[in-house]
Amino acid sequence: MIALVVLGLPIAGLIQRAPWSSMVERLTSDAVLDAVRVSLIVSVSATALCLVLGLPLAWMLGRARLPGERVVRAIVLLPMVLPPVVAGTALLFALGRRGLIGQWLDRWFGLTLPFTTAGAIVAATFVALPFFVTTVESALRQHGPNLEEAAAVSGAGPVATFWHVTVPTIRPAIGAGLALAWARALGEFGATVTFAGSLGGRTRTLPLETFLALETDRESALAISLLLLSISLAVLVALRGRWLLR
Amino acid sequence: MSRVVVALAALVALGGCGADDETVVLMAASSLSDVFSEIETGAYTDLELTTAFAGSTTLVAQLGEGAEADILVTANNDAMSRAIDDGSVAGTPVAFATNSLALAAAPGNPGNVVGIDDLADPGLVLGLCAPEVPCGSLALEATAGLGVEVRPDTEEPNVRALAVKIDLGEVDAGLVYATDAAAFGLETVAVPGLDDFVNEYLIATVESDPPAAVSRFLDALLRDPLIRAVLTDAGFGAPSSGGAS
Repeated sequence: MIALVVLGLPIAGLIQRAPWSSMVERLTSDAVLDAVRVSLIVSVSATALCLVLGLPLAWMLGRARLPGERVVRAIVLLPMVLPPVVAGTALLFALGRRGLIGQWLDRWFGLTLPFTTAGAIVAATFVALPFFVTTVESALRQHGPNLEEAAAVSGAGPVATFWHVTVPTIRPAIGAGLALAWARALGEFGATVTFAGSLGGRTRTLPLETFLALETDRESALAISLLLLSISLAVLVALRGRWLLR
Repeated sequence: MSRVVVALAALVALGGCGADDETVVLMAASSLSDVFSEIETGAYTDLELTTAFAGSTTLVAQLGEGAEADILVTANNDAMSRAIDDGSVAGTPVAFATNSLALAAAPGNPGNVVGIDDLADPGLVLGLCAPEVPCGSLALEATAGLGVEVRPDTEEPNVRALAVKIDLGEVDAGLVYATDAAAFGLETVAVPGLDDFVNEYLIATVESDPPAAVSRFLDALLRDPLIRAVLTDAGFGAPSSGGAS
């Protein structure tokens, strides 16, 4: 009961302080619309990257018998427990212009990630990937390899088996994983502001815009917060607690 | 209605224990963090000093929502005025110090920055503070006054974050406070006329009638020659008139 109050109170606070009368006007200001556009580009791209990178990774963890599987899983889960600012700092030291790998990217390809939308996408992908991978891996473990073995016995090659047997079986988990990854990418702040900086129209996502507005235009900050809250609630309702009950 | 409740709660909290006789809570702009760590506060007060450093606007927002402090130091007049308007600060603000900007370049100056006009170069990675914070509004004032149109690649939420990125070489150049450039040992480019643009730091007690210990500490911060020396060494300028604004 107390836990419910602890969780519900901040939300109630937000709803109660919201500037309902000027909501539409605030949510359609230039700064907010820019932030919405950046947030959409960043979160959707990050989610797509999570799918492309995460599906093979989840399969490796859920099906293949890896040596050092526990270490791999720990690395995959790390962004989930790392404080976001620490994640952003780590990304800066690895992929920044003077970073471990970043300096080569800059020298050989003229590619820099910090302060670009691409950088914001990388930061969002980094923090959202574990959510996708764990959801899908858990589904793979739940639906053992029986169907796949049957398909193999019937003569299907590994790739065909993957697309026609594995993926349809775990499709709900993939959907849930994508929804969670998207929500996480949308809400990312610490890693984004540290690695990609903050510039309106390029890297300033909705959470960054909220942070800035909080100091100078509290009403707008409240309006954006409510918007993000509603989106998060919608995602959770759509998932209907399915992934939680695994 | 809720505002009244929050304000009342804050007043009760502040009136109740702004300084319980053991601690003084100081909130100061992030550019002052090095200075306060150098001041041997033990010599000036037998109270325990707790400090919180953040961008001035963040501190004002926190105070506005009921955070407890005894003394507030902001990096410009706007932030202090907002704190007073919010009802968070009841003491009279006094000029504490001044700070000007420096054009700082990344180590080794990879962008070959030689003057303020380089800030208009789209080929360089440039950083400014967000215009909503004192360092950023001063930077806008200065660039407008010097006739340069800057297109920054990032607008950092506080001056230290910007200084760190310059120091890491992720940003080719940026406008930070002279004190932060000195603190980080950043290479600076001389810009004639840049130090005409100045932010006045203001200090005020949160309560209009603070405990004697808090007043004594405030007095020391304003008048003690050793503390003034630390500020000067760090690159801060003397307060202008010393009058309240």
